[in-house]
Amino acid sequence: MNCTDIRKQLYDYADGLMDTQDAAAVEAHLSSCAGCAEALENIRHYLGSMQDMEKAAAPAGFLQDVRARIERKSWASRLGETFLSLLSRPSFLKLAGAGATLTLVVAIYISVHQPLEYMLPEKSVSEDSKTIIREEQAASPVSSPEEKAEKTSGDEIAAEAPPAPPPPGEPVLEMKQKSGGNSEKERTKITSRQTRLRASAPVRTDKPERPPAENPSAAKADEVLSGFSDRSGAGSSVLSREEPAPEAQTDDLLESEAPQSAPASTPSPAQEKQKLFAKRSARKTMPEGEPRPSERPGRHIVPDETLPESRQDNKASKSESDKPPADAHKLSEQEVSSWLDNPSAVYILDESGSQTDALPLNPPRGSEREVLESGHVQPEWTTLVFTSSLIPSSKKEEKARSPSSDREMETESQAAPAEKEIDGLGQVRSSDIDAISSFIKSKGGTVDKEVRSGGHVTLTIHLPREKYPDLLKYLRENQGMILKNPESAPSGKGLLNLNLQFPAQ
Amino acid sequence: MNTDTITDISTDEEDFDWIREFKQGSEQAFNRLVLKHKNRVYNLCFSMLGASDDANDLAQETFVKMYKGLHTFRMEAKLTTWLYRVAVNLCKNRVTSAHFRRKKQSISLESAEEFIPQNKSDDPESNEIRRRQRIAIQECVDALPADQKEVVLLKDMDGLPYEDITGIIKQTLGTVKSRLFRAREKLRHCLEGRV
Repeated sequence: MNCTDIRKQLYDYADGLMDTQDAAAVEAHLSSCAGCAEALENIRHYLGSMQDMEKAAAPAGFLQDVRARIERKSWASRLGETFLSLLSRPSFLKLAGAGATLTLVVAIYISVHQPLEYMLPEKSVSEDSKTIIREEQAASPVSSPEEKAEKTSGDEIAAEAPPAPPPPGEPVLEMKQKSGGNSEKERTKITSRQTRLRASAPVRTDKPERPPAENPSAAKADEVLSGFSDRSGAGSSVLSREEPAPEAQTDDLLESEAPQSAPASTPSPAQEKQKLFAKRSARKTMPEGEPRPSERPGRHIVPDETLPESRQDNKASKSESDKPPADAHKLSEQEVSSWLDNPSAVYILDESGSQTDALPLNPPRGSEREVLESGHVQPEWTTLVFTSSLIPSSKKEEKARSPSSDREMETESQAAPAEKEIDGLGQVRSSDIDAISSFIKSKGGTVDKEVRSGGHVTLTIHLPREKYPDLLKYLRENQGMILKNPESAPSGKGLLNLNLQFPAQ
Repeated sequence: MNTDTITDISTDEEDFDWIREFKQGSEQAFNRLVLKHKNRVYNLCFSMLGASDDANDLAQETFVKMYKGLHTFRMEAKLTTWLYRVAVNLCKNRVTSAHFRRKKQSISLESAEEFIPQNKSDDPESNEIRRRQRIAIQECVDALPADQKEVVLLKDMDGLPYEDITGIIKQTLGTVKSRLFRAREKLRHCLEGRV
């Protein structure tokens, strides 16, 4: 052994942790190497210093202090201590200041816009609320008609300008405005609500005719207001059951008035449903080379709260104008993954706005009941596309596979376009797929099975809405997990792809 | 080797007896446990933090946790191992807190010198030498990373066997030895010519 090896072992040697043979080898080296012997002396000196180091004794009254601390460890005293210790920290004071400011902003926001906007995902809520608050603040000091004309835009102009004739849905609001007093603040609030309510009417014939905003801020205000219109529509369907707030009352009013203001050509929900299914059927025959909806550049993902009922009605006009949905915005990957971490209903919308079914990405907090009660599942029939993740089977499993299942695979493989996919399908238990199909059919639904390239089998499931929780429950209990993985799930048939991962055999 | 670093079977059995009494409702047994272990726990906290008030705070907190946890203590491990683990974790949390870091920057080492030695001799000169040595060691220990600090204090200051240290810091023997070697080398070079 050389000096480097020896010096690595000197601590163990000094600690007396070496066996006799190794210790003898170290001693032999030390007798012939003055440098290592000196290093050992240094180590021994160090160890001696550490062991002989003056030890600190606990202060007098330590036990009494411990007992006193135990005595006062009630929850109230703990809370008080924590608060006081936090108060002594500058970082806490900064945090408290920020929290107070945030609370103030939220309180102002809620007092001005009572309803459901704050239930939206964080970014969109904060941005929208800031914009709205700015708009409100900008609108409040306006006094003369000229200033109004300069400082307001879009729907606000329509709401504020005296010459504008009240649309059919307005009389109630007019009465509110008259009885609400003449203060500037109240007028602003009423104007704001009026604007939102007007915009939230499900279908407005005058909406496409609205003059375009002349400056960027006005355009932004238009965008925000149109977003609110959609969200208000959603709130009338989703939150009216949860929050019987004054806003819900006005929504109800609007709902009752909506048919009057809707054009005669507006398709009924049944017609819309037929149209959707027709579009899906057309997509089945889509050529392979055509980009899938999720791969298209204009894909939007909109959270459940932002999908309006009015979208169902506005769909035809929006697809005609070929514009993206007003309440949709392109999301960053971070936003998407944030939503996916907090599963809820998510809508994936095409640029054309034609794909507007509501599909829950995952039941919120694992409760199927909530999916139904929160109104996430609409319309009456739900179309789901499950894309299975094929689990590679080991050779042992291949051998264990029975001849009957091989025959089943061969039957299924007739639908497969390539030999490679036959192998892929063979790795999924065909009995699982059959079991799912049987279950769906037993619940009154239909299943279309398609083997896709890459060894995936896609089940397109049409299921009555009320049976959807049963399906989720069944899949969890019998088949495996439903994974949120829009990245890997190939889209092409449905609005939302859920990975259905089969358990290993 | 300092006598208070020895943890023989008899002291463990004594601990277990008192724990049994405490479980049967004897508060006096708990007091005896505190009095027996307070200096070791306090010294460990003081060595890790280098500040007497924080050491006192966390040592007390360690025993408060012991009070709450003794009813579920199964006596499968030594009480000292359990106590040290609690104390080390509390100290590590405190060391990494921004509040403590700011405090350490603002407080001079002089305040850390004001500790009460466990064994004070009648010779003032000897006491002064030992005090200076302690300050030098504390300065060097403070410069170590927390993971190396805990290992070197448990091993070289408290004289705990590797088995106990692995149980306290929940690391493998190899990790403990590796950290200990690096810490010792740093300390040895830091203390060269000072002690």
